[in-house]
Amino acid sequence: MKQAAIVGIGQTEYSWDSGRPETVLAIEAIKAALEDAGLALQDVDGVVRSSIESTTPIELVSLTGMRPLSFAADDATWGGFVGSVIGLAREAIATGRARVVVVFRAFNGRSQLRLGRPMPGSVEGSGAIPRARGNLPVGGEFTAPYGVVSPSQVFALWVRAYMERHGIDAERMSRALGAVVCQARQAAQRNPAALLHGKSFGPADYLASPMLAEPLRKADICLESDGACAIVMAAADLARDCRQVPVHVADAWQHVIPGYQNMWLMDKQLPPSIGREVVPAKLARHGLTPQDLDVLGLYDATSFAAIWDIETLGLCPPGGGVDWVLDPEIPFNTSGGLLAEVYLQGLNQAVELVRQLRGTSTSQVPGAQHAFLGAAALMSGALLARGLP
Amino acid sequence: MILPEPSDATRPFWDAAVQKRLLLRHCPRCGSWLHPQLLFCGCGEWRLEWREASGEARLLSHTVARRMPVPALQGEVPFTVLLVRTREGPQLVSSLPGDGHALRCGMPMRVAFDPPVEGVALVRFIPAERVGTGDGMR
Repeated sequence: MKQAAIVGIGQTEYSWDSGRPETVLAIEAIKAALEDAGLALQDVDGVVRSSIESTTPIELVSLTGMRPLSFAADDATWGGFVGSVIGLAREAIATGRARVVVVFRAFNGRSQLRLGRPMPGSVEGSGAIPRARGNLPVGGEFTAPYGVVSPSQVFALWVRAYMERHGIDAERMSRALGAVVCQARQAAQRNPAALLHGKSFGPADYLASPMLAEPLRKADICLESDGACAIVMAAADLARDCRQVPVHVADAWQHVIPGYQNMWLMDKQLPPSIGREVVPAKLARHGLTPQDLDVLGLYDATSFAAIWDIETLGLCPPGGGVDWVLDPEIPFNTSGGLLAEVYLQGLNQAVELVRQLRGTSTSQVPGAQHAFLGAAALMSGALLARGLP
Repeated sequence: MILPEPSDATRPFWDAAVQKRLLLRHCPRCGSWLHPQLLFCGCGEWRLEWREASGEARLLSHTVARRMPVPALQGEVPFTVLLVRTREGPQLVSSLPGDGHALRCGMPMRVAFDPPVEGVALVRFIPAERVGTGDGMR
């Protein structure tokens, strides 16, 4: 088994309106990541993308002058892809199918497809009253007529179930959600590339943010944004000769749980959980506990998701996440995350964790050695480490 | 307001709602009750039947929607979005107009039906303690 490392990171400008096709953004981010690594397009023999990406590996190999790909793959887990795509690349390298694999995400999530609204074609109609069709959990025939037209209403249903299970009142919940949002906004103030950089934001601003679906405010929901980022992974022997400190992909996994098809609206237990034993067991294989992690990249589609992921990681008891985030023992989402940097479904968190392990983050955790990357509800994840073993 | 556009597969559910009856899918092979949009059962059976449900449910979760990203619902905020678990098992999303319903997770709910609009009756769930008081829908 060959070890794999992240050797390059790249990103485009993050914006509200890129004015460019997603494929063009993808190519720019990939080229930037290769340049960062000291590699060329002709060195790439593998491409992995998410299933929700519009640009295909076939387009890239046809357009950019890459040599023939020995590994081209899609992940299959929607927005929960970030650990999965890194895992696919890692396995391709481990088995010798590829030596240099590009992983990318390009998304005009503001100027084209806004995920905070019903999917195009789901809510429309010729009459006075729009009609909702289809079986999507958001904006579908059985949900849109009752006001579930963006993920925020579903997330709010998760939060309410959590609050009542643990006896958390609205004020305590608000304090915790606000703490997550404020720390993301503060990280964005230190990160010039973050979309919300330059917009100061404190607890009073949080309370002034409009309520969307109680207890979630506009500020609790991730950005809708344009941009792309990419990482380059390489086999260890090659990684040692690359320009940057290699970041070892020590582990990557998938744990796709039932209910994802319907955003768990058909499940009795909300919020959805992979189980609190899953990630600690993965870490234990590397002689680590959750407390040993130096920095976390969590999928903050909402501020609540970060709280929930911290509990799922085993960093606090069930219901304790609302207290944990008030004084975090481990820094998380240090680029501003999906809430304040850009909404690239967590690949931007991967890029930030690489910066952390290289020692080049704008919110650097001193001496960071081990980083955890988690996708939506931790349904996929990765353990990253500074240097090769 | 947004109305459902029934598909061939779901039309029996909405036709029954006009007649104030709650239908769910039922699996003749294993006896499971299923959400009206499911076309086959996890046991492998695909010839599902429709069966009338009790109309009893429990509240799983709720939220007050105060802003809507679609114009068709912007005039209706605030309203309360519900997720209920029917006694038979399948879970349905529903809503109640307004806020301040004094809801709590786990409370018993009871099905109710809107008067038909354009031939479609939306399915509601109201707190069981308010059934018959005329207060259910506020």
